[in-house]
Amino acid sequence: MELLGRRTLLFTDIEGSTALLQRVGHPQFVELMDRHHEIMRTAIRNNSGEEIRNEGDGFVVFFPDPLSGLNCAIECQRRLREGPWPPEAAISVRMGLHEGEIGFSESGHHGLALHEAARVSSAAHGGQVLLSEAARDSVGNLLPEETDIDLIELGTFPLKDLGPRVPLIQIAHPDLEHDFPLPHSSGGGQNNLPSQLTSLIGREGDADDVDELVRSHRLVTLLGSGGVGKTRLALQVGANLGAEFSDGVWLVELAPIEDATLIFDEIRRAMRIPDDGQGERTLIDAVHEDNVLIILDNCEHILDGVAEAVDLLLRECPGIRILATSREPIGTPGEARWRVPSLPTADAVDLMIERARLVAPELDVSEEERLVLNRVCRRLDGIPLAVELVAGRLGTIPIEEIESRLLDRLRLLSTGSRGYVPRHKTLHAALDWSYQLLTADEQTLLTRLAIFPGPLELAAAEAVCSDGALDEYDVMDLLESLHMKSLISMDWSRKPTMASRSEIVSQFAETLLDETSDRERLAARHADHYFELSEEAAVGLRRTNRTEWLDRIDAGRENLSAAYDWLAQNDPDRAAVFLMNVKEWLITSMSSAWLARVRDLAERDDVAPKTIAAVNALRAMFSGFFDFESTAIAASASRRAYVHIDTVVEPRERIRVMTNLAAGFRESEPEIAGKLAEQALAEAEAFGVESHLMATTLDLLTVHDEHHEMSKRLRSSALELMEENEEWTSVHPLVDGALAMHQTGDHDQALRWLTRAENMLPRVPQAGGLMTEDAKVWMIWSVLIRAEIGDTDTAILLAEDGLRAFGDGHVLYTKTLTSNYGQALLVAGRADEARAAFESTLELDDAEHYVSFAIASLGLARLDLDAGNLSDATERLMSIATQNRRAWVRARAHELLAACCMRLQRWDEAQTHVATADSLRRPDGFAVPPAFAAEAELVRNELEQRTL
Amino acid sequence: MHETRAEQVVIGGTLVFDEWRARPMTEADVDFAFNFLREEHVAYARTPAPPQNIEGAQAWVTRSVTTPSIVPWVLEDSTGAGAGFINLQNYDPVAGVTEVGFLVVPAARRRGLATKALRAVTEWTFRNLPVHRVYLVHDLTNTGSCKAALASNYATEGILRSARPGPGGIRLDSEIHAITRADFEKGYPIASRGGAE
Ligand SMILES: CC(C)(COP(=O)(O)OP(=O)(O)OC[C@H]1O[C@@H](n2cnc3c(N)ncnc32)[C@H](O)[C@@H]1OP(=O)(O)O)[C@@H](O)C(=O)NCCC(=O)NCCS
Repeated sequence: MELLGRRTLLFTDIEGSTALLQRVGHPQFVELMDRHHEIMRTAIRNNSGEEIRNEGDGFVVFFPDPLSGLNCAIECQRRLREGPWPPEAAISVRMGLHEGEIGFSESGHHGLALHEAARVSSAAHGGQVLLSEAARDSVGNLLPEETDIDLIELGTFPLKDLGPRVPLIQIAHPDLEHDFPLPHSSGGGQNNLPSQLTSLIGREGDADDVDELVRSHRLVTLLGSGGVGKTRLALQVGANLGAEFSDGVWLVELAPIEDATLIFDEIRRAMRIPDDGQGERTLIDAVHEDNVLIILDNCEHILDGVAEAVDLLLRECPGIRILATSREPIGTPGEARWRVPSLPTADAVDLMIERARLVAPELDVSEEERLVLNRVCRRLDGIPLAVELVAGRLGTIPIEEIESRLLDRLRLLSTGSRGYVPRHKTLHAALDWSYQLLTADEQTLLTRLAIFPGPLELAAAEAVCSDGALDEYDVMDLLESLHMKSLISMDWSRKPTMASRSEIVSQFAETLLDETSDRERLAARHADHYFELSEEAAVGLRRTNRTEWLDRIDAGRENLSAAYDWLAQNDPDRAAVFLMNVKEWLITSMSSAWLARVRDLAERDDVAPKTIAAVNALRAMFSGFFDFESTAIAASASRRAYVHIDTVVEPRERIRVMTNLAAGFRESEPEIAGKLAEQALAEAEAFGVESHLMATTLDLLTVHDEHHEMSKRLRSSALELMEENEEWTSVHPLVDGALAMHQTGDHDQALRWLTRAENMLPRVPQAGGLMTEDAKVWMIWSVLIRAEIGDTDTAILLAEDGLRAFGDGHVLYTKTLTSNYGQALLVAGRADEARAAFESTLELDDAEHYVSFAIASLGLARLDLDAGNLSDATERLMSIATQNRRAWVRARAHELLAACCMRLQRWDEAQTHVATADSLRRPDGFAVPPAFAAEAELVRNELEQRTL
Repeated sequence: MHETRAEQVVIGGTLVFDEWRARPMTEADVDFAFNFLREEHVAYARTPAPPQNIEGAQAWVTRSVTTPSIVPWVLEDSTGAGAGFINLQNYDPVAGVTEVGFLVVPAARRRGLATKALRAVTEWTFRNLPVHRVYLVHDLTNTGSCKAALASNYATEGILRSARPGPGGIRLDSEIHAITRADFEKGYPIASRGGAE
């Protein structure tokens, strides 16, 4: 090997090229690629670059000097931005610039630097250019005095092969985009750790110790009294170790949970694993091979439950490590306990001054005053929370006064001769001290905030806490000042801004609220507010920005639960409406706890008939349609809802109830389902509110199955409505609609709808990334539709991406994708692989009413037929033809049976099967998919000749 | 719809068949009616929404026992526990026609009760009332009632499209069966051993 020496390297890579390919199809993709290559090569030439490699969607280029590399990257991005590109097919490229030693041998270029450059570029987002430290260092001095180029330090990130923390630098230039999310750090997995906006003081050594402890023990518990900083330390450790856990670091907040049986649910939710109703198995099955760190924060109030959960997790999942914070040990064998020490006084003083400067930047502390603070911090036992509470006052109250007031308070608490004050009392005293210093309005607000069990939006505080005594317009300012005083913390990175409190402050506020007589009144207003929010969500969840709403509801879920529970107790009629309002969220989250709420309300007899109707229709929809409970329960809930439907008179509710009920009846009473759907649609049309008509139409698309006439009408009106209202579409109905169109022969339209649905997905789905439920649904049916129109390349590519990305999620998704993958393989003529896919579909679950069952069984029969195994094929097909409730499935079974009969030269029987299939498909009904059309034609032709 | 021209309230006889019996309904049957009419399948099979309160059930019972065109029975098991209802309705002595309808509690279903009760009541009707035709209408999808009708020698006459106003403003298809006095007299194996009191 020959050493070429140091080189500047540019790595480029098209973002989401697989998805692009699938979106535009092969021919256009090739055109787009040509255009991309041309742009890149022009810029490379203009900047004296040497193209070393071109891997289809990316280039590796060497430059004689770093500045040329930099200029080339900027030129490429500028030209790419200018395009022009066809609509929805703009190409977005990520780039990484690096420098290092390169060698050359017969097999090509070598060197660690090549790998490193690849890592840097894969950390970038489309449109972004990132520099490594090496590239930055050498380009830095070369930049001219007067330049538009700016180098922005993004911070350090774990990048595989490059070390745990690597600095990354972004190029800023007027011609480039500059707003990007944080770089993809590929070292570790995902995490849900909140970003820490304040620095960690006096804990660096502690964090190192705990890092080591977590590396050597599977369960580590950080022990300490409230306010000592267990959570903050745990978060730091989580961030430090992020790169070592390939499946991520997950923070699970246990404080709001009262019921220990929900621990698994909470962990699952934090890890964004979909609920499939299997309780703890859902979680264990999903993570049993994963390499994850789970941080269980605030375990003390449900220690027994935590002990059981931890024990099970550690036993069943060898790759899991757990870091817990608790006031008491968990008590599981193997637990490594680490007591979080108080801050040494000097560090505590530093912390106090630094936090004080966040509020009062000008604050000056003399040597003398430092001595006073020393005494204060010692009296506060170095408890960080207490220190922070005091810090908030440093700018406004003279330091001496702080000391005297605080010491007075502590003296009152001291017991015994040596003036010993138990720690929790110290903290309480600090809280109390801090509370007493608040203005009356601040005190009132802090107390009232106790009615919120979890993080809240600021508007919620305004709505719930204000009254004659507390002006609504003051609430925002008061919140801000409570934030300044470290009593609550505001997260401005969220839209809308959220406020939250530490566990200690929550408990403190609880006791304050208990001393007032306000609780009931506030609870009612709290419920009112979240009911109103659910009304807004009902609309928001149906629109293009639905992801924002899903996030918003998720972030406020503790409040929504509390509000719902209050309503269920005190105002069940509104509770039912609330559930209907958040239906889309329920469908997406499929949270067992919420579905249990639906069930409980549905079974109550002491509620108004209209409520019985509303909530039973909802339950029926979930059970019949989403398999939440058995179909028998769906049938029974449907009947219960149906007999009371006329008591629902408010048109908006009535239409929703009918719509849900139509879905609920789909399995048990298809005739009635169809009639209800018609009626709901007619009433929605008469009601005349467009948003409502839209929602109804889209919901009803899913009931289409056996009712061609109506589904045709529904589809065309849905199409019309969506054409008029861009913001009124959502992925599910679009995909359902696409499938219906595909099945009835309108394949072009089906593809268009799929594209529309795809454009609504929050992010281009990528292998290895987390996929939203919407993205999964889109992918599952895209695969089938692509396969059946003969575009097997795309279908297979997409399915393979999906099978990797779905991971251990919901089995329903996995098996459906598997069956559709099988279909693609079958059409592509890859018989053995197709058989394996179909067999594994049926192994996952062989419930007959699923489409996946139909596709896999029909596919296997077809493979048997091809292999000449006629008796197996016939047996399988007969059972489908006589039992399956889907007309198109039975039709396809008859068509294959006809083919079997022809092999056996039983012409009459074959003729009968063909006739049956035709009548099942009906002229305007279900079409033979294009991929099978030729062979179906062949059978018919041959039969015709025979019978002539 | 028939114009019913019954003027006198008719009290049915007590009919005994196997371990079951049918006895005339009284005002005192209101609790049983209240609970029973709200049972899921029963509520679903009937058009008016089930009674919301005991007053609603009382009104139904009172109407049943005081309306001349209705002849209501309560079905009981051997312990005297209520097992369902069967009644004649739209009874029109002038036209010589009546309708029959029945409901069975979940615990007693699929044990032949509806069939036996229908046969007993049919026989009692032809023997005691000036009736030439008894008909029975059920939802097209109601297999149980259909089979009970066929097993009791009621001929299938046809489908009544959109005959029942279902809840929610939708209309359901029904099937009509009937037995004429001539059919009855041609005879079929009758399970009933009861008779007019
Ligand atoms: C329909 C109903 C009256 C049947 O009562 P029953 O005492 O169970 O009926 P029987 O036992 O005499 O059953 C008669 C036949 O129907 C069958 N059958 C009864 N219920 C059935 C059901 N739900 N599904 C399918 N078949 C059923 C029985 O197996 C029997 O068939 P067989 O003669 O082949 O053995 C009763 O289930 C009921 O009250 N249901 C709710 C209300 C209702 O639908 N009323 C009808 C108003 S017209």
